[in-house]
Amino acid sequence: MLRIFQYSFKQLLRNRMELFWLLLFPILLGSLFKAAFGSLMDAERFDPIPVAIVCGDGYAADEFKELADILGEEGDDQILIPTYCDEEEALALLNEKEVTGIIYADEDVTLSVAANTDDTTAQSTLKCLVDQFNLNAAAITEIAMNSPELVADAISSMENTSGYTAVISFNSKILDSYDQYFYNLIAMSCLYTALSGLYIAINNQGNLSALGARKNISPTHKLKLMAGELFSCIIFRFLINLIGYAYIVLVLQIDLTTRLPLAILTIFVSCAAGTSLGFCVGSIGRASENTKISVTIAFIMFCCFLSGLMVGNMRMYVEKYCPIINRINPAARISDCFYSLIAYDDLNRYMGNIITLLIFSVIFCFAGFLLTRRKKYASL
Amino acid sequence: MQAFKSFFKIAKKKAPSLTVYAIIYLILIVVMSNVSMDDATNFQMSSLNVAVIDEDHSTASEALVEYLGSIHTVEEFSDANEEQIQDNLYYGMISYALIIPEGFEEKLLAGETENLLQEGMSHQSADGYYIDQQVNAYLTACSLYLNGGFELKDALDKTSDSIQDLPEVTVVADEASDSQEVSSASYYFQYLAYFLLTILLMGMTSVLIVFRQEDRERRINCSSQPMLVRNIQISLAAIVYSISMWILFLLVAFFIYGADEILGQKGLLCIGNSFAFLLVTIALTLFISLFSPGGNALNMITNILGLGMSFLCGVFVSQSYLSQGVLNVARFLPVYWYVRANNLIYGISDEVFTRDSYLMCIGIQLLFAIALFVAYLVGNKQLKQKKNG
Repeated sequence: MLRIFQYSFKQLLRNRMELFWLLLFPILLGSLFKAAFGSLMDAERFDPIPVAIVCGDGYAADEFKELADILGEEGDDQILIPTYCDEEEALALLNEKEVTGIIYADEDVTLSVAANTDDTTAQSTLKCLVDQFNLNAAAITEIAMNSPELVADAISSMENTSGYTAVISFNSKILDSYDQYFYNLIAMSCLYTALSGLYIAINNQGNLSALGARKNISPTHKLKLMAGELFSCIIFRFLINLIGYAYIVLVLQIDLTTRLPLAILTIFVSCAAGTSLGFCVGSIGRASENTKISVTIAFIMFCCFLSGLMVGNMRMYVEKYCPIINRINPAARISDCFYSLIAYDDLNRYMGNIITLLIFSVIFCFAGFLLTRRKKYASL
Repeated sequence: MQAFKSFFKIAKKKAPSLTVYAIIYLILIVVMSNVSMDDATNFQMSSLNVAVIDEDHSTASEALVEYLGSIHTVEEFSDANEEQIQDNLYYGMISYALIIPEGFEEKLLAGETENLLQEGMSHQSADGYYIDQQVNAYLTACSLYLNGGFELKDALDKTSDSIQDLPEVTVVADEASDSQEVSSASYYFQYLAYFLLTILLMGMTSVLIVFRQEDRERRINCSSQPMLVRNIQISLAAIVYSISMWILFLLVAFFIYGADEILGQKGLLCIGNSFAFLLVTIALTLFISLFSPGGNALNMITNILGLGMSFLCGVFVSQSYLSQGVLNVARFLPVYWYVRANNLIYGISDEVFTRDSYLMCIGIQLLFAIALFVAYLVGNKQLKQKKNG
C-alpha cells in the first residue's frame, strides 16, 4: 500500500501542466479578487458628504449655517464638506457631480439632489440631516406656542444630548465582508479535487479505461489499490491548496489565520470531501469520462454559486428561503468553517461543519467502493 | 467541408456533457439576474433592511419601530437570535440592527437619553450611519416635545405629524439623462458575459482539442487540404456552434422578459453588444484550444479567465464600485467594454448613452476578436512548425 501511495504520488507530481494550473488557480484568482475588492470596502465606508449651501435671509439660515459649521469641522466626526455659494454656482457644482446636493436655507431648509446617481445613501443622509433640522424647528415652534416658558429648557436639554444610540458589536472582531469571496475561492479550489478523484475511479474500472483494464489484471486487492491512490491524491491536493492558502494569507494579507491549525484542518477535510465526491461520481454507471467530468464541474459550480462565490449574499438568500441547502451544500459548509472560525469564539458551529464534511467524505467513499467492488468482466 | 462536418460529429458525441453545461448555466443566470435587486435611479429615501429586537414592547418603542418601518423593511427578531443577526449583517442582508432594551420608554420619559439604544452595523458603513441618524432625529424630536411639556402620546403623534409635513426633495435632472428604473434584463445581459465565456470555454474547447490529439493531428496533417482552409472551416463550425448557444440564451431572455423588453431599442442594442462579445469569446476559445489543456487544466483556465475577468471588469460588482486603478487595468480586457456598453444602454454606473460611445465599445470588442483570431492562426502555424522541426 505504501508503494501504491508512493507511485501514484510521483505520477501526480510529474503531470507538469496540471501541477502548474492547479498551483496557479488560487494564486491568480486570489490576486484578482484582491485587486477587485481592495477598493470596495473603502467605497462602503462613510465619507464626509460634499454639499453646496445657499443661504437666504430667512430666520432658518443662520441657525442652519451654525449647524453646518459644526458638522463640517475637520476631524474624525466630519459629516459635511460645505461650500457656501449662490444658486447658480451650486447648480453648476451639482451638474459636475462635485457636490451631492444643494441645501437651501431660508425660511425653512430644503434639499435638491441630482437624478441618476448611484450614491443614494449620501443623498438620503443629507435628506435625513435636513429633516432633523426641520423636525426640531417644528417642535420648538410648537412648544413656543403652547408653553413658551419651556422652550429654553427643551433646547438646552437637546443640546446636551450627545446621542441616543450606542454602537455595539455582535462579536468583538471586525470582519471584512469581502473576505467571504476568499472563503469560497478556497472552497472551490478544494472541491475541484473531485476531478482527480473521478480519474481514480475511471482508471480503476476495466470497462471504462484501458488503464483500468490493465489494473484489474493485477492481483493487488482493489480496495488497497484505490485507497492508496485516493489517499495520495488527497495529500497531494492538500499540499497544493496549502500553498494557495499561504499565498492568500501571507501575500494578499487576507486574515484567515484565526486558529491556524483548525483552518488547515478545514482545507484537509475539504480536499478529502472533494476527492471522495469525484470518486463517487466516477464510480456511478458507464457514462463517458467527459459526461462525468461535466456533471462534476457543473455540480461544484452550482454549489459554489449557492454559497456566494459570484453573488456575495447568495448564501443568506438560501438561508432565508431554503435553509436545508446550506446544511448539505459542501461549498457552503467549507466557507462557513472559515467564517465561523473567525466570527465565533465557541467551536460548535465549526465542529458541526467539519463533521458534516467528514460524513460526506465517508459516505461518498463508501458508495464509490460499493459500486466498484467485485466487478468481473466477461470481455473487454 | 470535412473539417466543418467532423466538428459537429465530435460535438454530437459529447452532447451529454455539453447539455449538462447548458442547463446548469441557464439555471444559474436566471437565478442570478433575479436575485439582484433593482436600483432606482430617481431619488427616494434609500430603503434598507433593518433588524429590530424590541425588548421593551411599549408605546414609545412600537412607535419607533413603526417609524423605521415606514422607510425601511423592518424584520423583527427575538433576542435569542443574535447569531443570526450577526450572519445577516456580515453577508449584507441587513444594513443595521437595533436593540431596544427593556425600560426604554421609562428612560425616555425620565430624560435619561444617553445610550438609550444599542445598534449594530457592519464596520463603519455609510448605510448604518444613515439609519443611525434617522433614529437619532426621531428621538431628538420626540424628547423635545416631551421636555416641552407634552404627554408621551401627544409627543409621538406630533413627531409623526411633523414628519409628514417635511418639505419634499427637489430632483435636478441633467438634460442628457432620462431617469427610469433599471430593468433586471440589464443584469441578465451583464451576467451573460460570464456565462458565454464559461460555457464556450468549457464546452467548445473539449470539442476543439480532439483535433489536436497528437496522433490524430498527424493523420489530419497528411491530408491534401491546406491548413488555412482547415482552420477556417473549424472556425466557421465554432462560430455556428457558438451562435446556437448564444441564441439559446437569448431565447431564455425572451421568455423571461418578453418581446417588449428584448426587441425594444435597449434589448436590440444589448443583443448587438452581446454578439460582439460572442465573437471575442469564440476567438478566445480557439486560441486557448491551441494549448490543448486536459480536464483539470481546462477547468482551472476557464475559471481563472471567467471569474477573474468578471470580477475585475464589473460583471459581478458594478463598475462604479471598482476603483479607478482597477478599471484602468480592466480597460485592457474585452469584458470591460462589454459591461461598459451594457451600462451605457441601461444608464448604470452614472453612464450616459451616446451613439458614439456605444459604437466605440463595440468596435474595441471587435478589435479584440480580430487580434485573438490572428493570434490563433499564427499560433497554429508556429506550433506546427515547432512540432515538425
